Amino acid sequence: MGGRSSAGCGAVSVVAMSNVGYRLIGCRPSISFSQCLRFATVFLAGCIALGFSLNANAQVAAQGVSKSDELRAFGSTTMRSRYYALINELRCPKCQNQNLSDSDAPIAEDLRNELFSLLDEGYSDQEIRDFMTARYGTFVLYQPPLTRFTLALWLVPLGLLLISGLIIWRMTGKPRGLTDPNFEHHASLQKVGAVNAGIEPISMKVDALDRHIAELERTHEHDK
Amino acid sequence: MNARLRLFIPLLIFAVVALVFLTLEKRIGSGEYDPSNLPSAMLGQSVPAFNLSRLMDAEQVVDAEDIVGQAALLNVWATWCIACRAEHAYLNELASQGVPIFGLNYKDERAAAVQWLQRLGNPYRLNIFDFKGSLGLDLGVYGAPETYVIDAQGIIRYRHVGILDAKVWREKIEPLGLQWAVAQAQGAAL
Repeated sequence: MGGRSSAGCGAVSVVAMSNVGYRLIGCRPSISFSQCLRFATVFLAGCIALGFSLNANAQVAAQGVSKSDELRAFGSTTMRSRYYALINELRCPKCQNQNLSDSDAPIAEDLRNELFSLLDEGYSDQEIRDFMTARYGTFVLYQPPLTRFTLALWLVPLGLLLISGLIIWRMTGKPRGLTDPNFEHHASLQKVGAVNAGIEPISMKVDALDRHIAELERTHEHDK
Repeated sequence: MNARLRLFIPLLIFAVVALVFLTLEKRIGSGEYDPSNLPSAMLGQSVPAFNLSRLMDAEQVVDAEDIVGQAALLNVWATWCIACRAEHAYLNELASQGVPIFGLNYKDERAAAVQWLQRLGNPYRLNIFDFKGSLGLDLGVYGAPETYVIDAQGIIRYRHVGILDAKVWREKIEPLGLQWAVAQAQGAAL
């Protein structure tokens, strides 16, 4: 599961960065800020939902993947749930990215059998993990321990999360939209507007409004 | 920074990422790096204890003491393994040069394995018949062929996953600096 969630986190960050990045470097996306935020929210929600469904799929797969699993005589329901938890947690050494429950590789079947007999002999979960790591290395653990070799693995997703958070914080702190008259490109827009006969520059509208107010004030004074 | 130059930041990020992946791809292509090649967890450890029968004689028992005593190769093989067929000729060559090779016949049928050796030649000083793969599991074997380099003290010094050939011998096994008893006498043949 660790691999999946960090990959998901990476994808979210990349998308967040590519959408938000354009705002930060000062060019205008064609969608508005609120649209962008809505998209990001929907995307994030989608990712989380996908994560959960993948997780659920893995559980379902574990329940019915192998005939031999169905035929195992579990001593108790605790043992049964420990067995399924462990075959989901341990990785098949032959495969690049499958756990023991997913894999059809002969070695995965051997390890499931071994796992079952170790449970039967009364090994604890940690003792079973140690047994597997002693033979196949930390590769078999989908939840690798924090060592100096795995530091990057643990810190990169955190770092990406932090960067994404910073970007979103910066975005939401200073919303700058097309209608904001203080926007730094106001002047250049006006120029474009002046050239384009169909669009009236904002300053002209403001001037017209000023004139209108002045006129209103005059008539008001005249009434007095 | 110039606002126009900042537009190139995404391109720059892309270039860096592309460079990383291209280098990786190149290293995989040249065989320098193989992501499916796990480092053995058994390096620096003794050959695990076992008690199995010999391939040639089901009545005869083999244990770790039978294979420890000189620098040797422990080759994991099976008749169902196509790559084992491919490396067999090189094993014969090594054996003829005097390198001690022990076989671990892994999850195989005894009759088929014996027939294979009769047909293709027998480079092994002794074959361990591991029908259930129990020694394989203790060694951390996850497929065949695999070759373990064991020194005179019975310590596992190197594990090669895949076909053993002259290149692997030259680049991986020779630099370990083990005394390959007879091979030394024959000089630079290896």
